[in-house]
Amino acid sequence: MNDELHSIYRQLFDLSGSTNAIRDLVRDIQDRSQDAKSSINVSGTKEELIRNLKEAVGRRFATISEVQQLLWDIEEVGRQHILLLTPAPPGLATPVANISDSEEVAVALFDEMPVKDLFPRYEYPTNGYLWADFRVSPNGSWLAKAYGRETYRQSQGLVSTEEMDDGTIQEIRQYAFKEVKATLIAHWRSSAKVLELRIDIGGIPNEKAIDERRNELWTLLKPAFGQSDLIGVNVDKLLEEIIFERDKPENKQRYSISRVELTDPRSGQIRVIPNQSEELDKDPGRKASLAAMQANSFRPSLVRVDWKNGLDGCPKCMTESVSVVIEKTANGPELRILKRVTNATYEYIFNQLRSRL
Amino acid sequence: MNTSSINFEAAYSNAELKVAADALRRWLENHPERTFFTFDQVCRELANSVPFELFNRVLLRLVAAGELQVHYRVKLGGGEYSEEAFESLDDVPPCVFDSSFEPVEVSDEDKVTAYAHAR
Repeated sequence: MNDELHSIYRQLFDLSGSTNAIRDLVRDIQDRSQDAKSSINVSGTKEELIRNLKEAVGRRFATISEVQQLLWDIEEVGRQHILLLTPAPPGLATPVANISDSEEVAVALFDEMPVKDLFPRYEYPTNGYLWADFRVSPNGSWLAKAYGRETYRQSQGLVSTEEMDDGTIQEIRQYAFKEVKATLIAHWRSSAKVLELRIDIGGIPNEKAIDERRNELWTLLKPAFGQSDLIGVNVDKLLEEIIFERDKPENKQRYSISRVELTDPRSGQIRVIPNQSEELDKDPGRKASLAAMQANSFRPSLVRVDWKNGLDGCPKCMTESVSVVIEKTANGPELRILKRVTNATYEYIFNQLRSRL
Repeated sequence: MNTSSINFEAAYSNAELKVAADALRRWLENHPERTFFTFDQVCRELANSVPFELFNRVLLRLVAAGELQVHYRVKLGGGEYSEEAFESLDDVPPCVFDSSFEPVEVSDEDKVTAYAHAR
């Protein structure tokens, strides 16, 4: 257990953007008793905060499960591209396991090994991706998580040239090897009948890396089901409502939009990209252009939505607005979140979207 | 950008610089939505009235006086800049994200200095 705890603390330290979440938990622990308040410090660097968290667990002001939950919350939501899929109609798909049946999926992925004996794991593989967790919720939802380690060459920007005897020039570039850890998640939402493929976008070395990570996840899932067993969730109505019904009071209060992309009836593409992602409606010309596109049957394919915080239904931990891009891609509709968010914040945003599907 | 708390007088060391500093102040007042700006953006819109070298000196003085803060961004296609800002050039990763949160590979020549209100 000590090794496991040590790994959890190390993961927390390694995860970029995790400091605020750690501080929030330490603050929460501090508020639990006078004793905790006087002995647990809430300020300092990330390293110091983790030391304080260890101290709080050691003195039984907090439990190991809470630290474990904190790690899951941080590494499982935010800073991701999320593909939204749903099982293909019967007759068009031949999955090995029924996606909605967590037991069938677990057997296909891990044979007969009980998942409670296998997971959770906290160690990253030396190279490539391996399953690290499989959890099932009482409502039948399941979450499968893989940890991965990638090594790539990073240019050091140093180039030297040398003239050869035959008059040609030899150019020598310097590279250093860099290691990146990443987390991939497949999450089945039983009530929505949606499979989310959440791809970590942290530390990517090039533009193809996100697709490569998604392929890694498909490879891991292959014993249970494959790409041809799923189709994209239909987000046409969602995009139409978010963009063209944004002036409805209940929508206007919840969100604003900035970048939008549309397809005209002759398959031409139109992009509206406000400077520094300011609200699209701040410029009357942009607003009028979008109204004209709607009147001429342009169909939305991408929208960037800024979800406002501090409203009824928003979780307390949603302390600032959160930008989410929704795009119809060749792989299916994708949600993109650049910042780390809490699980509660992501659930709030997902439910906002789901109610408009 | 809210300019009311930026003390442009920090750059008023001579008449020429005062002209450039006032031009910069007016330009920023006309772009309240900006959270940052780059030297290129200022020059592109104001170089017809003030030599760009003067803006360079004004910016250096405002940064030295702690009125503006320097960070680094990556210039992308279509006049966009990377969503994320970086404290040093060494912090800029091999890939950044555009306003649709799609990754874009970074070239050294696309890294630019950006200025923001020092809060």
